[in-house]
This record gives sequence, structure tokens and C-alpha cells, in this order.
Amino acid sequence: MRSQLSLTCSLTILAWFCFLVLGLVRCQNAAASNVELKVLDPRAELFTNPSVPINPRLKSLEGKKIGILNNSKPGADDFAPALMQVLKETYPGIQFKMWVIPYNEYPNKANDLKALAEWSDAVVGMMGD
Amino acid sequence: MVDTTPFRADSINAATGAGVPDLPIVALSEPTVAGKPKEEVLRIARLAKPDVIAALTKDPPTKTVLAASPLKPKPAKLLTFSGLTATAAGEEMEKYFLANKWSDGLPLVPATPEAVEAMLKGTNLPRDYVVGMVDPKKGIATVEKIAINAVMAGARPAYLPLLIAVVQGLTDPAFDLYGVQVTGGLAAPMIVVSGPIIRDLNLNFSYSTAGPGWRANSTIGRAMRLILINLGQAWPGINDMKDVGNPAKFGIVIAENEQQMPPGWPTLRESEGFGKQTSTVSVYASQSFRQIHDSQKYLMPTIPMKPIVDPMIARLMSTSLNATAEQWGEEMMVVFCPVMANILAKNGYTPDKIQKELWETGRISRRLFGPRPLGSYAVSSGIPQWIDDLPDDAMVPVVPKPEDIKVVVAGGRGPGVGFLVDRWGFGNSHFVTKEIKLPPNWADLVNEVKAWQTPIEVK
Repeated sequence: MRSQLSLTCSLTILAWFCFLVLGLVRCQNAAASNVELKVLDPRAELFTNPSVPINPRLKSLEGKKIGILNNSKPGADDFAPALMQVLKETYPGIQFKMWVIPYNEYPNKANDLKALAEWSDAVVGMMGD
Repeated sequence: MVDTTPFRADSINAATGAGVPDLPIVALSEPTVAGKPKEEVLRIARLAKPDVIAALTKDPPTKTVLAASPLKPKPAKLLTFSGLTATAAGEEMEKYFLANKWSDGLPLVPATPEAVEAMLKGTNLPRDYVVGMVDPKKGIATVEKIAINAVMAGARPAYLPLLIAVVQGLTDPAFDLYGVQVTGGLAAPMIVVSGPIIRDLNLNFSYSTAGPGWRANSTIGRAMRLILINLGQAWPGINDMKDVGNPAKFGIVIAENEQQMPPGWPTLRESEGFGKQTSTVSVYASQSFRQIHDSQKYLMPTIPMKPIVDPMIARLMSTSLNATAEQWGEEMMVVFCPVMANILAKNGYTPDKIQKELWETGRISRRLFGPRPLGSYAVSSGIPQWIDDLPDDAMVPVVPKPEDIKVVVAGGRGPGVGFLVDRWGFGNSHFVTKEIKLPPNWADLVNEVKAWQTPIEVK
């Protein structure tokens, strides 16, 4: 009987203790979120052109006409001839033609870009310096 | 497409923006090939060859479908930050913005809906009006988004018409914002203001016009940078490839000192083809600032003055690292303080004459101008064949024509110091001027901003 009473007391004390701790935690949480700052998102939506699939790939480069779109940077001037040389080593019948068009000239050079596309079976463009 | 690893994000961005997100991109094994020996370039090309062949002959692994952009941009989302105090909530906002690369690193003014509504009183354009697409990611610059970033910068509503004109200038194709944002060069847009709006907004046009201390100068420049970060979405090392950056990226705004200009000299806005009663803003892809100061020549007018610009500015122009073929097609800007401008005027100079003399004397030898033949430089800079054909010792002008040297009078009446502002030059960015259109409630806006003024010393 005495041990039952002692157990009940202990359980009661434990229950009150848990209740107290829970209460303190809830108070703290309420205090932690008591100031809200609402601001508007500064980031823009991005304009995206609808995507189109890339053109079907070539079965082989042998005998093909490859247009090179040089972006008029020094790196392209150095790399384009090297690329043409190494591809020619593998595909002796391959042909190349280079157009030098800076990216910001694309609107003004639409005819040149059209000529590049019409001449070429495939195009290799250059990006960067 | 073939690129080098530093430009990977640019390549993906360009392909996605063009609507071909599945475009195969081959990265070379080296960060750059420019200037390397031929054998080394061949080695790099051989390494890249299998990938180039695969890109041209094998289907990409995925087929990406992107929807077109909405025709009508959505209103800005509301973000919520919490804290024990208002300061704590603000700090949560700051930390979030920093972590997401939405900040310029300085404390931000929260763009609450109320603050943005107040800012939008600075224009009668609807909040969803699209001013332009901001490169490199083609962020849709609505009036609302411009206003949000203006609030964050600490700008006042009266500054909004000027900021809208700035965005119009930046997004004008002639400015080549894409190149300015992503280049590895030191490009940073700077702003030059001309017109009655200078007085209305308390823009500092006098001592230290290019420095801190005035709300308008400081926050307009800052707002421009936040717009470039949050609307253009260029970020260092991701798609803004500047190795060391540029202090001018904090946003420099200078204002023309019209009241102390030599009488009879046209204002910048008149030189750019606008009426004297309008106000304009010009954007310029600055690179570096080179002091002009020759006290002996400018302050002792008894010394023979001719040719006044040759020993100093012309020398600066011709020895500038940007006096070469890569930069040829772009303008340069010279800013004279009032002392210099007035002594020049007393000696018979007008802006036209200064431009002509600088164009004739600010030259560089063909040998130093660029390789022979100029090759792609001639294409990218629009250099005519006759320049390519010049002998090595012939002197090449550093800009195509005299009018490409912009002459501005700004600053205070001090010891006579101005600056030459080098242009960026690795693309084709031009000095672009736009009219600032004022809303019907302009008088009210000017009245409000009177409380935000700093005295300007004019001597």
C-alpha cells in the first residue's frame, strides 16, 4: 500500500514536471515567432524561349560540310584552325567554312547566320574568350 | 558548342535562353586557349576531338521541354521572416538573402509591401509594365521588380523615374549588357546624369560627385547593382567571370555641374541630342579611372597652352591598356572639373575642339594596336581594312571618330583634377543616353525628397 502511494506520488510529480516543461517550451515558441517581417521577392522571372529539339545528329562526319561559328574572340581564332586540322585527320573528305560573328551582332547578321545554316550539314560554335 | 570550363554556366544559359537546352556543349581541357603555342592548341583540340565527334553524331541523353515565358509576369511573391524582435526578423531576412545570392553584401532595407507601394508612387506606369529584359538571364524587369530593388537600396520614390531610365539604358542592345555582366574584364556600368533633375533630387554634382555622402548618388547606384544581381542574375564565378571585380560595381553616379560649366558649352544631354529642358541619364561600361591633373598647365595660364590636351589626356589614352583593337569600337569618357573646363574655354576650347584634338593626338602605334592581320578583332570592333593595312609606325586613333570621346563637366572647383574613364572594350558596349520621363505628381515627389538632402558645397 505504502509502495503504491509512493509510486502514485512519483508519477504525479513527474506528470506535473512534464506539464511545466511543456508549458515553458510552448511559451518560448510563442515568444520566438512573435515578430514577422514580410517582404516582396526581388528576383525577376526569367524570359525563356520555348524549347525546340536539336537537329538530328549526323551518322558520320565523312564528306560533310561543317560550319564554324567563330565568336571573334582570340581563343576562337586560335582553336578553330586546330579543330579543323584534327577533324580532317580523321575525316579526309570533311569540308569547313568559318563565319566570324560576335554574339551581339546576331540581330544585324541574320543573313550571315542564315547562310551559315544553309551551307552547313552541322555547325560548331565557340563560347568564351 | 565548344567552350572552356570558366564559361560553362554561360554556355548553358545561352543555350537555354535560345530555346535549345539540349545543345551539346564540349568543354576544353584548359580554362583558356588564347595565346597558347600552336602545338599546345593542337594537343587540346585532339583531346576534345572525340567529344566533338560525339556531339555531332550521337543523340543527347535527354529531351528537355521548356514552356515559353508567361506573357504577363506574375506579381512578386511575399516572403516571411520571423524573429524574437523586429531586428532579429530583419537579420533572418539578411541571412537568407546573403545565402541565396540576392544581396550586394551591405545591409538591406526590407522591401515590405507598404514600402514598395510607396516607391511605386514614383511612377504612373503600371506595376507589371515591362521595362526590359536584364541580361544575362533575361530577367523580366517589371516596374514592380525595379521598385523592390530600389527600396532595398534605400532609394526614395522620386528616384524611381531615373532608375526606370537606367534600366532602359542597360537593356538597350547598344549597351551589350550581356557582355558587361559576364565578361572576365573589369566592366561596371556607371551612371551620368544631366538636367534639372539633378537639383530636384539633390544629386551631388560638385566636390566628390563620384563619392559617398548623398542619398541620391549612393542609392541610385546601389539600386542599379541590386537590379543587375536580382533581375539579370549574374553572380561572380557562376556567370560573372570577372577575376578581380571592379570597385565601380558598387554603383557610381556622377552628375553634370551645369551651373559652373563654361558659358556656351553644350550640356551632355544636348550633345547627346536631347533638349535642354529634359533630364537624361547615360550608362557607360566603365573599366578604370585615370586621374587627369596637370596643375602647371591648368592653373598657370601664362604657360603656352597648346596643345593643352596632348601631354596629358592624349598620353593617358594612348598608353591605356584599352587603346587597342579589342576596344576600338567603343567610346571613352573624359570628366573635367569646372576649373579645368573654364581654363580650356578661356583658351578657345569647346567640347568639339577638345574631342577633335584628343582624337588627333590620343593615338597608338599600329605595332601596339593589335596583331597583323587583325583577324577577328577587325570583325568584333568594326575596324576598317585601311587601319589593318597601316605600317607598324603609323599612329592609330583609339576611337573611330572624335564624337566617340564623351566630354563631361562635373565636380567641384578644387585644384583642377578630373578623370579619364577607360571603357570595358571586350565586347561592343556603347554609351547610351535615355530621357528621364517624369510622372504627373513630380512636384509632390520632389517635395517629399527635400527631407533627404545633404548640403552641396559650391564655390
